[in-house]
Amino acid sequence: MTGALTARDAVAARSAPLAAVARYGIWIAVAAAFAVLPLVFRSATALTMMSLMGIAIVFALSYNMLLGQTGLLSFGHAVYFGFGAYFAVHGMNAAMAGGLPVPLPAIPLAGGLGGLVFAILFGWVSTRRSGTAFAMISLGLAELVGSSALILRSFFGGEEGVTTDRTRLPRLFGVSFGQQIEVYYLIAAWCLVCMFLMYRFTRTPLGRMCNAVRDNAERAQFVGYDPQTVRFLAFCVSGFFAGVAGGLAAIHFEIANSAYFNATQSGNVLLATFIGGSGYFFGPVIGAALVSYLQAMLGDITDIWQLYFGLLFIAMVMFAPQGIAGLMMMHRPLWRKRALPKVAAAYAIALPPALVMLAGVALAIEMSYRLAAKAAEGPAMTFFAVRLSAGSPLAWAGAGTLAIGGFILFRCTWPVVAAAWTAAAPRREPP
Amino acid sequence: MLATKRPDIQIVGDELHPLQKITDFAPYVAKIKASGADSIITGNWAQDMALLLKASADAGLQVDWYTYYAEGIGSPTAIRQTGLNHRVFQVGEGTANIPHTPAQEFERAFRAKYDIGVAYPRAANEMRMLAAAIAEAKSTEPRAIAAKLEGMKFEVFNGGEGFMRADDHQFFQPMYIRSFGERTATEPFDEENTGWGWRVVAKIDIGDTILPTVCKMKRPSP
Amino acid sequence: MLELVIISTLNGVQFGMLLFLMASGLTLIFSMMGVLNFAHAGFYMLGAFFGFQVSRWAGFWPALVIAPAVIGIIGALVERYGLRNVHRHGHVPELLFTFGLAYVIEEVVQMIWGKAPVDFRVPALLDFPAFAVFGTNYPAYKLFILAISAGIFMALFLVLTRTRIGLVVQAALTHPQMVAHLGHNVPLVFMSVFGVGSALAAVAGVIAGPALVTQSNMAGLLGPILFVVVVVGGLGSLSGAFAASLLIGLVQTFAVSVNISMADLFGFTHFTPGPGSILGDLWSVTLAQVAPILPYLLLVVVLILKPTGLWGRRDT
Repeated sequence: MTGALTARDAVAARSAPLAAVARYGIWIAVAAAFAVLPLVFRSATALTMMSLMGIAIVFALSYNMLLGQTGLLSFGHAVYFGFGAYFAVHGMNAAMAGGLPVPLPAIPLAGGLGGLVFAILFGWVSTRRSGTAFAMISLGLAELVGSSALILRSFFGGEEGVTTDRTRLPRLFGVSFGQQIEVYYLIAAWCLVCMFLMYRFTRTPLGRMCNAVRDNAERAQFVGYDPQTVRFLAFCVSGFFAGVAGGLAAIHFEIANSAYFNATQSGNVLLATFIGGSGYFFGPVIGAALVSYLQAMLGDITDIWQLYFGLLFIAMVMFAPQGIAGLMMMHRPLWRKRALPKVAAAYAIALPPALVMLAGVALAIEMSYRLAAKAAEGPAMTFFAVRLSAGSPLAWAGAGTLAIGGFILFRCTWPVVAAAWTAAAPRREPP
Repeated sequence: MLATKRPDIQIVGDELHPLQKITDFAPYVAKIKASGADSIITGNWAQDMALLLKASADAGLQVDWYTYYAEGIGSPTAIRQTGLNHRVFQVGEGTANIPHTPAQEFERAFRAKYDIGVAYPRAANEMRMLAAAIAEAKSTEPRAIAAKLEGMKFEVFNGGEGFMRADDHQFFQPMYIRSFGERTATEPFDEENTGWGWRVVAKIDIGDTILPTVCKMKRPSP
Repeated sequence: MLELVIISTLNGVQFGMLLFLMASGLTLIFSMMGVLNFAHAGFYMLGAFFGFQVSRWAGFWPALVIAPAVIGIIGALVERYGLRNVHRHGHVPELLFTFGLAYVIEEVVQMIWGKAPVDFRVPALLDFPAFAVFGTNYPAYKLFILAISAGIFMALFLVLTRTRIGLVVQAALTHPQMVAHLGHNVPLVFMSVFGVGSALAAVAGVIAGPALVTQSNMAGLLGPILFVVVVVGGLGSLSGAFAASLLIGLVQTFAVSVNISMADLFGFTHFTPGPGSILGDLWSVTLAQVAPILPYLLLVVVLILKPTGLWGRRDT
């Protein structure tokens, strides 16, 4: 017996470091990626965008705690984001005025506290209902807080907001945080810590009960857990992390104003979480990064990028409600069975007609925009380096052919893709 | 200051309403009527301005309006709809109907291209001053530019000279009070295709616009 | 005092009727299909802009007929090809679909008509003061709005309760399968209801457009208050929506006339918080300043205490 025990211990001892790497490997990789990214993308635009992505990731992950994990659709999550920003800014100003030895990296905690306090306050009334009632309460609260921010001027600073200076706090290792790269590393570090903590939360019993309440609240009640308490706790934790995101934003922009409470902010985080995929933990990460990137960069390509954005959102709701993460994970059984190349080949065949169809639709939209909104500048325009006139019937005929022809060809490739899928996964694996 | 300079003016009401949220200004108009005011000073802009003016025109309120933002896009259309002929005043840094030839030529070309008027001459002033400062400093480094902008004297868009005070970086220039209504031969430009235009009723010389400052600016060490 | 009460009542009723005009279609759709249509305000805006465009070509009165017809058809198509496909994914995707649709509608309107307000005028026939009360004029156009809102309420009420179609629609609200078994084309009913609801929103747009500012942000500015009306009034209840609009209109209007703050009420306690603090702000803020946000307070309170709404018959 002793021999068997020793052997088992020996096996355990040998694989412990390997097990640790397997468990935490992904986090180490992410940390390394965060550290290395600014060396790859050096421009000021890239640094700012990566900082904004970091903030958006924390915000979207906190939102998914409600949407994806607890099944609560909220239209007013920006309230806690905003309160986090205000608490952080007031905290910074108070620390500077009072000469307190609070370094800047600790400030997002003040933001988290702000988000937590108001999540407790508002969550107590919001989580008594679920479903549509909860969504409506969140909408009403968002409007209330947004309007109050302009009335209660001592705390919220009125229309100008409250400003601060992040370089005047006591310096840690001589770092003043005046440069964007230093702010980026601060945001990246906090983002990593928050991602890790929020992931660990999903693994706790409370996190699992959130999923249970989402799936079947009545059954969770029979098991012995009060759904309202579970929702309330999830709401509070989510509010805390939203507040941290707000604090990071306040540090980045050095201002907190009523725009943080906007319906646009709440709408954006909903869009990002949904597009990324609310069913998986990493979904909102993808969504937040993608949406931040598109919002910053797409405006350079076309003036009406918001229209494309809205159309993308509708297309995802209709055809891929599981989001990008869901689409990716759909291929996981294929990846396991190494059957991906077959399906990838089918995708490669289906892609060109789809692109042609999209190009035709985009051309039609751009030409309409040119004729309608920019009539003063004349009908000449360029579309992907092709010069054409928005008024010419030939251009319209071309757009129509591309769109309709592309759709027909695309339609023809659907059976090919379906056949590839059936060939790759002939048996449905038990979940 | 009002009591000493104009003891004949009495403030009979003061309202602050939430921004861009109100659809129905009729209760506010009722309050104004009840207070017996004959003039109103307002900082409303865009939708708030348009709806407030419409509500007062609907109720038949006959007062003068002293505004800051009545030139904002959409407001001239609203004023025209209400029929308030030369009762809406605005204070600003310039307008198209000031007889300054270079500005009016710019205005003509701008309107031909973009179909809207130059509502904010300050934008042209800012860009031109920045360009001048960069040229003078022969550098795009912020500290060098700031050093040149401080105390800079500059000819502004609608004619006349302005300068930036070094103590607090406040820019001073001649200001104009104008009213919106039917045009005469001296007002060639109308606004937003309404047929009505801005008429200058008063010019405030630069000396009269300067107020003292207590600013003690923290400057970066050279 | 009497003057204030009478004028405030008139203004409050006017505003309330305008709200009901805009919310009538939303109530119909929400009650019928349980879909909280975020795009309703978008259809309202489309109606206003279509009305403006048609009135430029043919005049206001043809616009009043043509614009709602066109928007009604668009709404029916949206239901048939969009909403119905998303319905099988659940309630949340439905909500998100209408959310995305609202976004796209705003962008399309901005693309075609620009971001500036358009000059949508009151028709010359109605552009005069109808009567004067205590020296304040009431324009004929506002009375027109009042008349149309009341007319729509009566028409909807009669159709829903006294006609056969109305009974089928009401039955489909609670027992869609049974109604289908009885031989009625339930999907067609839903499509028509959505179309009629959108057409009502468009009527509201054509009528309210000249009274308010017709601009591409008008949907975002009016959307939230419509939800307050429908949710506070109660789901499944048209009279509830009517009563809730009047309630909100009157509350908001009367509150503006009240310049009382906590400091005035409780001044006898000699409690004076510093003016630069939050407590100071809360102490000195007047009811008039918070009047426009009272509806949202009402929304939150009603949802907490009675989620079916004040007159509702169906749970959310």
